[in-house]
Amino acid sequence: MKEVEVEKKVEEVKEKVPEPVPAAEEKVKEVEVEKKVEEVKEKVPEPVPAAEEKVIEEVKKPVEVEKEVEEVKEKVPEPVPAAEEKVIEEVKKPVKVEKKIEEVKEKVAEPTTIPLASLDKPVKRLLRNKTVKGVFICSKDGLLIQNYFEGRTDIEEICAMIAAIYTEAEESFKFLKEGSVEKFIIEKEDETISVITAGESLLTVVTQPETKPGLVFVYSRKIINEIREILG
Amino acid sequence: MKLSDLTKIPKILGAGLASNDGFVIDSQFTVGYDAEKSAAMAAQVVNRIKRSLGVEKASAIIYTQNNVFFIKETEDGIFFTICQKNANLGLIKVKIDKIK
Repeated sequence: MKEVEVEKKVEEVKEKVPEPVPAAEEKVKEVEVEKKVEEVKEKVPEPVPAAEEKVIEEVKKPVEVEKEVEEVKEKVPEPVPAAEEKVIEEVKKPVKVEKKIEEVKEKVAEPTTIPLASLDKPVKRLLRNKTVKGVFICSKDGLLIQNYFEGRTDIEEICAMIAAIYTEAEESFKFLKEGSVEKFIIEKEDETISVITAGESLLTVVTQPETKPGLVFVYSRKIINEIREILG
Repeated sequence: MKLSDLTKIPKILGAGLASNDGFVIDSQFTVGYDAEKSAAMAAQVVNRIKRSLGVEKASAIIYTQNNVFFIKETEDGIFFTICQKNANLGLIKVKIDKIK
């Protein structure tokens, strides 16, 4: 019975006791944590000073490392200075290249072959015609390029005249819008002059009046093709 | 010779007679060809040939890209003809040579 009474009293006391305040609970928890930390600290052993000293000593021993380096150095053979000097001397010595220059034989200067030499063949074929007096090639400016007219000294003057007639005719036909002049025939009392354009040059054929102009043009065509190839 | 005799030849585009200073005396041209310009050109070429080569009566045949020009100095003046390139040039020349 006494026990029952005691329990009842305990329950009454518990009912009377106020519920714990949350702030107080937190404080209690903090206190408990602090206590635990202190306990752990007490359990952890303090660092041994001797071990620390050993580590420091191990770090501080560079002498041994130096010794090892010296030993390795002793084992490695040093470069031989004498050999180096020899090599340098060999490099410094100029290499004497002994080459004999071949003597160039003197050659007698020969006149360079004129590219117009290939014109000789067709021109000679034209000149074989008895009615053909001569042939010459000049530029459109009136300058002589090649002369196949023997026995006439005023070829350069004729060249200039032919070029003058050509340029005047060319200008006139431009005015007429007839295109450029390809060839023209001038009939004189004693001779006929046939002028054919070949690129930038003029081929002039001087013939007797009774010559066949068609034949002259046929032969001239081959010469013109050659001139175009050579002079453009 | 009349101009019409010459212009009858096929592929002849025209013919004319010009004075030494390039004026047209007579002409027969097909449409599209200027007789006055042709006369002036003919006179210019003839005078150049006379001056350059010292010829009394100049005569020339000029081949262009499209046509052929016959120019001849006669007693009456400078005779000129224009024809196509593929015309019978030999026949035209024979006809022109008859003109004195």
